[in-house]
Amino acid sequence: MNFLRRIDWRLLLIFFIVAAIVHIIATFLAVNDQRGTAYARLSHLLPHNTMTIADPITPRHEPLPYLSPDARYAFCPFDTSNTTMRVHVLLPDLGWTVGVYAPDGSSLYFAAASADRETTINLSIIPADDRFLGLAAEERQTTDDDQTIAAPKGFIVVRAPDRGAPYRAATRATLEKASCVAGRV
Amino acid sequence: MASVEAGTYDPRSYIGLLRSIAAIIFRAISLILTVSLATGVGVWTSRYMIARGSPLSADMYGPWQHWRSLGRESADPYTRAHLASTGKLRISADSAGIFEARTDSQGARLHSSCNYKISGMSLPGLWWSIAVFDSRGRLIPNEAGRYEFTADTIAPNPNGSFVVTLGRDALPGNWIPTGGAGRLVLVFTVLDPANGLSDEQRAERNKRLPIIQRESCS
Repeated sequence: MNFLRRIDWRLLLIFFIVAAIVHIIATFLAVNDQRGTAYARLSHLLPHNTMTIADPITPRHEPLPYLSPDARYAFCPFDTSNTTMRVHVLLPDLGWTVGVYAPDGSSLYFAAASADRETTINLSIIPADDRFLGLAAEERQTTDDDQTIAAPKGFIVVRAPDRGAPYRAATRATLEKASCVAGRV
Repeated sequence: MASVEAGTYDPRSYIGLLRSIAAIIFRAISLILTVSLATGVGVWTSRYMIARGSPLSADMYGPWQHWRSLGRESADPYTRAHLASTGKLRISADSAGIFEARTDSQGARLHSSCNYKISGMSLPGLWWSIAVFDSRGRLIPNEAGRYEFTADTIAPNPNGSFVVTLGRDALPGNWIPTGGAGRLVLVFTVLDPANGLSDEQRAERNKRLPIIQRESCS
């Protein structure tokens, strides 16, 4: 009981309130600090509005931390402030995916290939303002229909699974068919 | 003519004044220390929960950690800050299961001075990969040029299950060299099928994660 009497409850209350406020501020500062995001790192390395096939991920070529070497990647950082983007990707087999990511790393669109059929993805990316007529933010699609998403900036990632040395040339050839092309607003 | 009245000296009131001043200084120092300590605790807990996750943002399945709303627009602030601060590129939790392990199944830190056996069950119809990194997210250089196995490149057992071994020296089977890396991080990725997974199927998938056993250490 003597111990409890000696505690300054006002200071303890101040401690918890200040710690909670600082915790919340630090967390939201970290959320809004976009300097270290995958988008920030890739947009410094790669041309915008162009699909670029990255070199195989090896210890000498790691554009991003924890980027798994289980696939070849094609990246297209985009900016639709003055244009729209047309994206065309072929997903021939299980493990192939295409994703559109916002600068903070959140997923705007994702599609994965089916095991039993080739999937063609045609996307339009338009500026996120009143020119956009509306579509769910994240859509999983395996149909060949055109899709439209709204995003002012971000990046497209095509992921081609590494199936071993005998398949690498074919994988690259299919990856080279992926495109992101700037159009008109 | 003004007159000045000399005050009488009272030692008790003088000591009382000093005590009051000392108490104010003590309270001020206590307050400064409390605020400083609280600031440190607030920053540290924020950074820890962003970097390592907590039950608020991540689930644990044995040694495997899964950020449950990774890549979702509705993700909680810790998950969003985790992605922003680490620079990771992750498929959304709506479309894949991405699991990270920093310990073995007994809870001991994964380290390159030990050999590990990773035993996984068959995942029919799902594409998966398992890759190993050092604690900073870098691949571990090795002469074999081997950094991961996938559903396509693994040599599975006849029943579809698989075993991957981690170790400094060459091991039979699906071996990933880890020599000289220090602390290790395993990343196990399972892509959802094109038509998605139900919550029950996800729960079932999460029960079938590989077991990480330490074999020996040098």
